[in-house]
Amino acid sequence: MSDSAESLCQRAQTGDTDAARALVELTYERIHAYLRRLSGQDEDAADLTQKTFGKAWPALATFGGRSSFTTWLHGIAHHTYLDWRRQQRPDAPQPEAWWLAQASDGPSPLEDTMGRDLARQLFGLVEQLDEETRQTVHLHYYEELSLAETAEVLGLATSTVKYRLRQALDFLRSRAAEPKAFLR
Amino acid sequence: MNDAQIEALLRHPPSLTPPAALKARLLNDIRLPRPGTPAGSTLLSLAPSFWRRWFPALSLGVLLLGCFIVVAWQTSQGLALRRENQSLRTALPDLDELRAEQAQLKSRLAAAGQGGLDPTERAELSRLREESARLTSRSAEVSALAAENKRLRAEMAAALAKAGLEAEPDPFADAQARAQRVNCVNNLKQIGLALRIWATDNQDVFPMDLLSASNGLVTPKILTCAGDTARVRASNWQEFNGSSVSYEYLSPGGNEQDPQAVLTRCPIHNNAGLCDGSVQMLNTNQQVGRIEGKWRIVNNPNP
Repeated sequence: MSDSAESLCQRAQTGDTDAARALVELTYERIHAYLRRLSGQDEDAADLTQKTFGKAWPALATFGGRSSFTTWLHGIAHHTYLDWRRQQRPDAPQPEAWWLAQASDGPSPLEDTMGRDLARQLFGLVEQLDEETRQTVHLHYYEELSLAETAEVLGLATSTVKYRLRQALDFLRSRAAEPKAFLR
Repeated sequence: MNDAQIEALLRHPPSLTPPAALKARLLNDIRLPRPGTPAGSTLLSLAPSFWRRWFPALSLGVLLLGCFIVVAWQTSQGLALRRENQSLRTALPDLDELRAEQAQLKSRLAAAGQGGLDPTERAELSRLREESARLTSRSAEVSALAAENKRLRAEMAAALAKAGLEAEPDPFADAQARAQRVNCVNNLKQIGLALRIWATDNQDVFPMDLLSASNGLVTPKILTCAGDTARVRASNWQEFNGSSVSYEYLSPGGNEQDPQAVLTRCPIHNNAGLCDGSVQMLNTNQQVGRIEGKWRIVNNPNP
């Protein structure tokens, strides 16, 4: 997908609208999912996705291929989300019910009921993390970006990303061990 | 639950289906810039991240540059001061000489404060002042003696008149009259010389008036006879006018071909200046007379 995205990007830089349409079809679901998980609202996620692509097209000429197109686009989405976040309430945690509904409706990595319960508990605990650590978890685990790509999107050093992920895993492990953590 | 299990769960988040209309909106919003057009607004939107990343390094660089500039400026100032110090040290041997000169100037200045004279000049000045005071006292004494002499002469004249005898002539008055006549001769000689100089420059012809020869006269004083008390002697040519001339110019427009012709004459002292430049002091038997249109010294028919 990466090679295809880069070649499409090169064509789009020359003004090829069909390549740009292909880029949208290729990436908009991931960007929407990323923003949807962060913002927690369907309408906000759709608006943020539209703003992200709205910023990406004029800046397409500045994309030099130093990173992958997906990473570059996630960077724009990240800054778009930060701008939107500053205009929202300082702390609007993700409703746990939404994650419970998503976990029950979506495909689960575990087949048994115990596994689904653990997943629901885990995703709810992720939303209790502080904002910076939560964004790091979203990019690295949910969006499957590498450590270097996550660091580039967040504008951090790779070691900082590793430190934040370590903190997140410690928190999740400690809280998941509590018998009633997911009932809160 | 260990980390591997947690990570495995986190890598499989619940999938999300975007709204159906989102794709159409995104496709409809595609606005690709024309190739070669700079992405201005997006650059600005990405600028904060750039500055946040590079601000520490840039600020440190600016700080170091500022420090370098300050150090360079201080170094240049230090070098300039060092050069100045060096020049002052080289000028130090002249300091003693300058101090001696300054002391000498101060002593001279102190002397000037006492009148601007050195001791020998001050002694000379005091000697002259004493001499002046002595002469002043002598002058007063002379004046008193002259007044006494005049009073005694008047008494003697009165006594002689009462006794029917003739008054004794004043020897001082005779000497003064002789001196004035000699001075008159001298004046006529200078006037004759000026007229002859003028004639030499003008085809040996004398000028028509005395003022034409004024360039040859040193001062207008010589045009007034010392014995002429009726005229005011002019001290310079600005004060001079015709009324100051005591002498008669008898041969205007004449020439030097007749050396015995009378050129000028003093009617007071009966002196006659001739065309050859000589001056004759005429006695009571002589006078200036006109013979054949020329003025000459002739015998007085009525001495």
